[in-house]
Amino acid sequence: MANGLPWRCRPVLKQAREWPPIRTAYRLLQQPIVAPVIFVGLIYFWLWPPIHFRAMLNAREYLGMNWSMLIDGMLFWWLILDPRSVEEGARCRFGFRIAIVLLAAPPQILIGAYLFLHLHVIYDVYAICGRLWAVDPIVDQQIGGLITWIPTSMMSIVATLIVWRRWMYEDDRTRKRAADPGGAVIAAPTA
Amino acid sequence: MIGSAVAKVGGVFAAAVAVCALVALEACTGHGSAPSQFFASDISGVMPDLRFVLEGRGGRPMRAGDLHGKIVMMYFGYTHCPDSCPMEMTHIAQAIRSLGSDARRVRVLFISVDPRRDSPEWLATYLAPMGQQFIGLTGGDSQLADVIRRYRVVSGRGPADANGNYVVYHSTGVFVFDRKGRARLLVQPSETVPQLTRDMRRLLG
Repeated sequence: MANGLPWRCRPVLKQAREWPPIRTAYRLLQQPIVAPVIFVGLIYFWLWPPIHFRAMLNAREYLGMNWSMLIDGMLFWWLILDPRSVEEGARCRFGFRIAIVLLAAPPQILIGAYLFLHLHVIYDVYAICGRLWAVDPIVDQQIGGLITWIPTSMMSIVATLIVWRRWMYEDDRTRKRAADPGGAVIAAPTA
Repeated sequence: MIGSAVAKVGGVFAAAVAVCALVALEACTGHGSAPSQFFASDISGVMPDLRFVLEGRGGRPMRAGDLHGKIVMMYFGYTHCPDSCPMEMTHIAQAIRSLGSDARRVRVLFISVDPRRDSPEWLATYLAPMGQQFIGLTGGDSQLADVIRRYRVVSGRGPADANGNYVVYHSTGVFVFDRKGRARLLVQPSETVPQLTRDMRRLLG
């Protein structure tokens, strides 16, 4: 994950991994059961109307919402898209990762569909505090619902295909290694 | 240097976790669950205190400190507004009239987000029929942007027609501050005049 970030962030992140609180939080958030629960839970948490109302009005809570979603999103997708196999240091097996993605998608689709199909404005804060363009609050909510619904599903499908491809590649590599133990095998990229 | 950056990353993470916990706690004890004594949304501790520097009548600068000791209702709008602004101002004027002598302790700030068309003089003329409590304010782009950002509202201008007329999209809520300038309520347009009057009475104590 560190290698995928801008070069200035890399030493910071690598150093951060050594700091005990970060290490503990990282381990916890990378647990295959905990990660999807927190990933989906955070979406529901921040979209819960009383909490969303406060977050949109309070600058600090708004920042907290964005940062928590960004950091947890990166950690979740890193768990899923880690190019390494378990033998090479990844947290969970390819099949399990696909299962996580497929289990995490329906709750997001559900909340997106709920927002899109709801006939009344759920988040009155947008109606009160205005919008930049001439968009009716209910249309604004429907667009938000569609964004939560469709790109989420697409992301899940794309991620599943990437992991599937990686799984097949690993499987093929393992078989070749078993058939020709002395042969050279190209190593997978490391973290 | 890296050590401080690590501490920052850790700080951001810890802050995010703390914010989640605090927000959940606040949301459970504040807006949305426990029955509020107000019809309007209680924004105590959520929004910042009353603070601004804008231009009042004659272009004279006006500050939040000039209103100390008054209950302040703050609305963002524009005088060419065909619907929500005149309706909300009328609602507020009716509620204030219902307060009787307590109306002296209330001020209504109508902050124009259309400074091109709304001069301080024109704002004063527009608000005069509403009562003495109504104060029209506007300002330069940066002055307005400061206030708009501070109270997390949004405004935007629609395309001009052949005559140069345009619509301004703006917020419709009324922010209410207590006598110490602390943010207390966010009144929605759906709140009726009797409800608004009751909220104001409660706030006036």
